[in-house]
Amino acid sequence: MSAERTDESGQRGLRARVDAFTAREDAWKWTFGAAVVLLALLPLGLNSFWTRIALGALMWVGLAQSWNMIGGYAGYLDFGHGAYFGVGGFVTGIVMVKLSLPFIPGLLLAGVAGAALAYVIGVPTLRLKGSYFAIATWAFAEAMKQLALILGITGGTFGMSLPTAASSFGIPIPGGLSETFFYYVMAALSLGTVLLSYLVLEHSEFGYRVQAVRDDENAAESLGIDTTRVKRQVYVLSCVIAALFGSVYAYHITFIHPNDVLGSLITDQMVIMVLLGGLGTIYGPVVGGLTVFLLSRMSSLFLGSSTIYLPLIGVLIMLVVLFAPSGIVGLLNGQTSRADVKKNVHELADKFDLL
Amino acid sequence: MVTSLSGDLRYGGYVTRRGYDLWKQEINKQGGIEVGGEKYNVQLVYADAKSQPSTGADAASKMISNEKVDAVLGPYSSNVTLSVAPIMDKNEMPHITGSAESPDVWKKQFKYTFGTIPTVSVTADKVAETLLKLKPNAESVYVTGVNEPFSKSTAEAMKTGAKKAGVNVLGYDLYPRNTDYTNVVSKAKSKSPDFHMHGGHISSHVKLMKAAKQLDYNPNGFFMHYGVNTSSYKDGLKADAKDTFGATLWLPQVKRSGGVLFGTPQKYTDAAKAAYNSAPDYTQAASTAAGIVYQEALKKLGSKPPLSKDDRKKLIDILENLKVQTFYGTVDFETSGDRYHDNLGTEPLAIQLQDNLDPKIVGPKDVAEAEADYPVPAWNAR
Amino acid sequence: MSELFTQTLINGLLLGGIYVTVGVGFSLVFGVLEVVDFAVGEWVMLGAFAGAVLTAALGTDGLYLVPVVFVLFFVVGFFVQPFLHHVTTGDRPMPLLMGLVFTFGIATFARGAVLTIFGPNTRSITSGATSGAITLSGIGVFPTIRVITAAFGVLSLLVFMYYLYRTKGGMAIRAIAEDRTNARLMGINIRRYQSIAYGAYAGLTATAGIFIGLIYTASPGMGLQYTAFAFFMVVLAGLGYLPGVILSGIVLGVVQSFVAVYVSSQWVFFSLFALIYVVLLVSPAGLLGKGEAAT
Repeated sequence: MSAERTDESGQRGLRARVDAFTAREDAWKWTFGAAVVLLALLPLGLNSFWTRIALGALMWVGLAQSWNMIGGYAGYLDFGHGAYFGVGGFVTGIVMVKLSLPFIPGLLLAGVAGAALAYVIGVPTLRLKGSYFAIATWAFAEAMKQLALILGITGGTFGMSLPTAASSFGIPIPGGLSETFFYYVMAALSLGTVLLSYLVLEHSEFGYRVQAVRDDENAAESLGIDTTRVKRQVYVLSCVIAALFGSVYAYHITFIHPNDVLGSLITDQMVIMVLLGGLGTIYGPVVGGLTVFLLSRMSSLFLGSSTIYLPLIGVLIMLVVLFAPSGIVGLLNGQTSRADVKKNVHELADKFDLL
Repeated sequence: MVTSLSGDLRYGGYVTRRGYDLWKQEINKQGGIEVGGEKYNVQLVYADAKSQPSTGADAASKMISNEKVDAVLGPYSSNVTLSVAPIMDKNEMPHITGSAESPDVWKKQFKYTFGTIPTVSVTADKVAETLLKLKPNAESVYVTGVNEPFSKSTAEAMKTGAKKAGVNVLGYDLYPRNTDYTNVVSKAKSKSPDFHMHGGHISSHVKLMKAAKQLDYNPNGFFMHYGVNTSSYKDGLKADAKDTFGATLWLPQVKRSGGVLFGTPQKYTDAAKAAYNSAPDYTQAASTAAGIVYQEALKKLGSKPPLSKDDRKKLIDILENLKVQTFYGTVDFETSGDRYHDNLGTEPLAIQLQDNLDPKIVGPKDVAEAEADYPVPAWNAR
Repeated sequence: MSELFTQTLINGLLLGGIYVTVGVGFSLVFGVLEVVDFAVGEWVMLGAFAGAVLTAALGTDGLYLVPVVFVLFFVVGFFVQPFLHHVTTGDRPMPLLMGLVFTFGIATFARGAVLTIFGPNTRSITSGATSGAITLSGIGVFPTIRVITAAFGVLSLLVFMYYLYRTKGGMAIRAIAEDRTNARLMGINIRRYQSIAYGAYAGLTATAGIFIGLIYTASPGMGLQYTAFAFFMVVLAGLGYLPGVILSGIVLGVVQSFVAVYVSSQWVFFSLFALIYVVLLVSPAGLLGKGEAAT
């Protein structure tokens, strides 16, 4: 199985081994298991600040994965996905502050609210396709943001602060509301999301149906797949996950404002992460999420004095789309080889035959 | 030091950073902060909050856990401050901000956070009152504002000040950030107020004045906050910026002296001009003052760096009881109520841009240096 | 009170004129190249900044720079187009997303570069036309620069329509939009005409930027709101239907003005976004039903 391919370059050997590993039936189990162990032990070696960074990275991996469900696997470009993140945060805030309930019911209600809203919005909006769906979801998200800025219950233009006492969680926690505690919550949520994505989208009949919708919706319909139902289910699921992350985030950061948690920046970042990592793959959001988050966070925290990271991100995005559209995962699993990139560059040069 | 170098609020971030840097430069020139007979150099570590609370919070955490700073100088925006403050409290880390004027911050009563700028609800209120007492007394006022936390608080304070001055508030409207100001002006003009007051950030003031000129809207005066005395505002309107009224906590010509480190406002201005080739505004001054407050507090504490948690706790008590005279003004932190840990000591001033768009202090009466040009000339008379 | 009413109406119509300038190019590019350009607001910003920097450096009146900026950005757009074409064709997955994200990359790059090079400060473009207004007593005040802008918007729309329907070049572009393969068989140089279309769009939108800079100000972050408005415009107009742009500009400007003056101004943007959402669901071919249907 792990054939020794004669090396033209060191890369061949590595790829051969990676391919051989991923070809195993239980590759997924091993990878996931290793991830669980690693993440469980990680906080032991990190200080407060690095735990925060790890927790942030985990959250974005989960968020990117949630967008990947509807955007990458189902092929519906949801440009309003970030709204659910914000909705989750605000619902939790409202439940904790106005109803004086602890966090756990806040989290659950955030999920319920996310599901309900996703259903109500999903039914009419999923009838649209392509750019229309993208623009409609974007408009919906912006409308939500404006609404949160106006209503008193969300704090209006002042935003909302959440309780910080350890007792606000609902059950006693050893060590109080430390960064480590939030880290484990995010890790659990993130791992759960990835596992769920795998089981539902990669390892099941349902997953095939979803991808069929993406690849050719009309053909899928004619094959007897209830595309409307499939789309709706994926959309609602992906939105609920975003809402849950929003809920935990709000509790962690303790101050939320519509411009921050309901802004289009959240959605944009999710999309970039999935694209960079690899659309419609299970590892794509993981790789993309980690890369983008760490790059962006590290650059502002360690290179604090320049805004040059912004144009650089722009260039990075353009390069990925131009030469590695299948993302990093595509590069790693051979979909985008050196030959592909060369061919790509040639084709691009051709297009300049303008005059 | 956490401030915002990108995102929407970048302009303000640069200003606070300059303030903190100037302090560091000057104190190190004198050998450093004097503690227990020895002098210790100041080192500043920077992070860009990108005007986003989550980045700001991470930056704060980095300062505490990684850089193991002894104290933190705070962010420009109130939103970022609101997410950084809980972390400061949790880690018992002293935190002074030379900006963040929103009353929300102080209402939440964070134990470890202090601010050298009085909340805008006091500044705008007092200045509004002062201006409405200029002769001929205004009988009516129209208040507008941008629907954002700081600007909204400013507009509310202007309204309160107007009511205190016994003036009729003909209208109070809040507009979203990207509004077109011809509508704002048309609506206000239809009520013919004697005075127009607006709470917002610099670009909204420029747009408001441009629209006012285009639609020939001529109340006796315009009072706007924040940003009248900035190069951005003056560049935006050029000659049309003349005679605008604004509010400030400090100007280079203010008569406050005998301060620690920079003895007089003039000395500070000279240092700022030498370093950055531009005159400092009050946010920059207040940021430098934040550094000076730390310097005095640390001197009083008498503990050598690095500070222990106990040291930092004691520092909070010292800060609460400290009264420091600086070139910026007196810094004296409130210890209870809505303005908890906000600076009570520095008085707001009413200013007007006069010849060459230079700001002149026109009120309160006892500190005024010039007569207000009031009523201001109509647009077609300029 | 009725004086306020008419003035609000005037404000709304003129505001619509501003929107039309941004919407014309965007509609063209969507209809012809089927590109949803996330960077449209950034083209506006670049035009405004170019105007501000050039007037400061050369001391000329901003209005004289209009043709300069148009040509400059036409050239830029002309050479950017092949990249865009490349990412939306070939055997890539999800060409629509690729195009969207690529233009998002352009936008981020443009915004970041301007911020890094020029700093965050707001700038103005100087011109003799920015002061002054035409006052028709009994009706209202028409600020001169806004009238010029509105006129420019309508004029550019008419010029484009003329070009598209009455010239060979325009016919080539329409042929490409309708059926690319056939167009190639007819010997049309697809690449050249696509670049011309995109270049025209970039040039026009940047020119709109100068006007916007004259009316308001220029700042690195100003792009996002115009991207939003451009989306509004084409949705209401019916994606790809050029004449609809005038109607949608008017609707947007007037709705915004009346809500701001007569209803609580806080609800302005919520109303606009909600309107877009509803229009897309109920009448995706735009208010006039003439755009491409949502397939």
